[in-house]
Amino acid sequence: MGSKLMTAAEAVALVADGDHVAIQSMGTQATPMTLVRELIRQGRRELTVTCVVGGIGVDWLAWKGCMSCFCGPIVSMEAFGLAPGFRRGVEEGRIVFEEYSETGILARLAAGARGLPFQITRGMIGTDLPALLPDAVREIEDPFSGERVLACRALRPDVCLLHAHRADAKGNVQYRGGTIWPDVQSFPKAAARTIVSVEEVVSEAEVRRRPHETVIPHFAVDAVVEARHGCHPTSFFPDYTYDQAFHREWVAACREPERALATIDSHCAAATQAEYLELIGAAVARTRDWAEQA
Amino acid sequence: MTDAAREPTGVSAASAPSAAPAASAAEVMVVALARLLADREQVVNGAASFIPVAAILLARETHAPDLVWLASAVGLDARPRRLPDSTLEAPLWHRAAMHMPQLEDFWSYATNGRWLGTFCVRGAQIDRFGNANNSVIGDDPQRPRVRLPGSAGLGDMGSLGKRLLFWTTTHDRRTLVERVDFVTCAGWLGGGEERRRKGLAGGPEAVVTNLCTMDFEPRTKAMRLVSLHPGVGLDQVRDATGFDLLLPAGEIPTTPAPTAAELALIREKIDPDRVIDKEFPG
Repeated sequence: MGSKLMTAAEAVALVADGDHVAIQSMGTQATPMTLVRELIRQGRRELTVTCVVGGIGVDWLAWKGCMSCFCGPIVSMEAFGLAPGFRRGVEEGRIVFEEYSETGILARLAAGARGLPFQITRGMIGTDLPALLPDAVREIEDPFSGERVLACRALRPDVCLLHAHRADAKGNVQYRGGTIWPDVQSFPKAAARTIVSVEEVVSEAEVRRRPHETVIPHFAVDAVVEARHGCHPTSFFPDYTYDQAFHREWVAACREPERALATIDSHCAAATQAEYLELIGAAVARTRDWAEQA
Repeated sequence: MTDAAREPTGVSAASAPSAAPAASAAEVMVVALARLLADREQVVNGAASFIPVAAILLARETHAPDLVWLASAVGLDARPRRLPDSTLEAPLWHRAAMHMPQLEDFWSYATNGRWLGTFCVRGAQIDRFGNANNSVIGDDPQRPRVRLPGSAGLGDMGSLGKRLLFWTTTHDRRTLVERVDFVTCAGWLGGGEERRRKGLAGGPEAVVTNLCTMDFEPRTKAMRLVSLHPGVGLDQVRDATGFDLLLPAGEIPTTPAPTAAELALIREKIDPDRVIDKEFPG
């Protein structure tokens, strides 16, 4: 089997305009930002984006006009507040926010992952969310007990973007310390194509020394991109924490659209991860010290 | 906030041998919320929940040593060194007994009805019947005047039979409203038995704000004042509430002021960096 190693540019060329892209993200955590910047560099348009908790990555895609829909439960930079570009995009009608509860979107992905027509949840019952989702969520009756539950239609994104600790060239993807957040477990099973950036590419022999750390099998992976510190400015447990200074400066820059766009452009101008790491300079060392924070 | 609220509160507190120093609004909220958490209860916190996390840590240090806490729905019985700058990021899971995978584990334990029964909720709007909105402000949800962050787990927790404890640091007419613009988190819906008729167990039990503690009158399920925080007047609460708040029978109690021991725990052990005060800028 051939190598799946690619540059970020080659991998992101697998994403087409109009695709539904599921992007790993948990607020300020674990977002494959190197791949997100590459989507922006390549000028993708009309993307529908799904995240479990969208953060700065969704905000950048929104500012740059790359997305027309967010399909998920929340977009928030947690302590740094709402994602300003995304929020404005929705308020001005340029972006549709198709809002689900967490179990709602996870049920849709679980159905996609299993090849089932739908999965059910008891979440969202009694809320105003289902009424806005007539094509994706319907109340049905449990054929055994008669209880009302919500059927959540299968979601099969065109492509998913993930970040992991290690992978081999064949595409076996490893996480140190297990996968905590739901996206890594569900996205690659539901999405038609899977692109994974990793902190480090290792040999297959090295992968075989730690099979318990392999969480995605090679057959479900289409592209592997080496990107050290590839989640910056979000965190990647346990390797590095989120860049608080970067997020604060980002929120400040968002007060003036030109400054926000200039910030994105200057960071997306770096053609390689090495160039990007040079650009962010001291942030690499600053965010590597988990112990200091924890 | 009146000046009186910053003073040591109540005759008994002022004259007690270990008179407590003046508590900040955030500290009063932390203590009020902590006292609502029972020992052996199982509680989960969400993002940007500094006051609930401080309350959980305080409850564990005082009356609820066996409180079960799943920090940010990941870290089982975590022992953070201090309240960190995020209630979602890994510093909160410090020295946890388990990092719980969310997809198969957390959502199974949280949805099957036996575990993780309590959730602390902040809504941009909370209404008279304990419904909360974190989605949109305005009449048209497709074209909102303000797009809020979104449901996250709120749209689940309100429907899954949890004991919901609401909190907000902004008790005003924009937050405490007659009817939310959008129900993100199902509370008592239209009041009375509507929630039960929908087949939903659990529900909102209490609301802790910067001014007072409230609950829900058992028959109508309308929000009801329980106690005014030290130094806060009834008119102040009425003026700041966007609906007709029910009152308790008899004299209106004052929320017991934080004790010197509780304040020492908050200031020296739980939150030496004063993260909770960031909830009250200026």
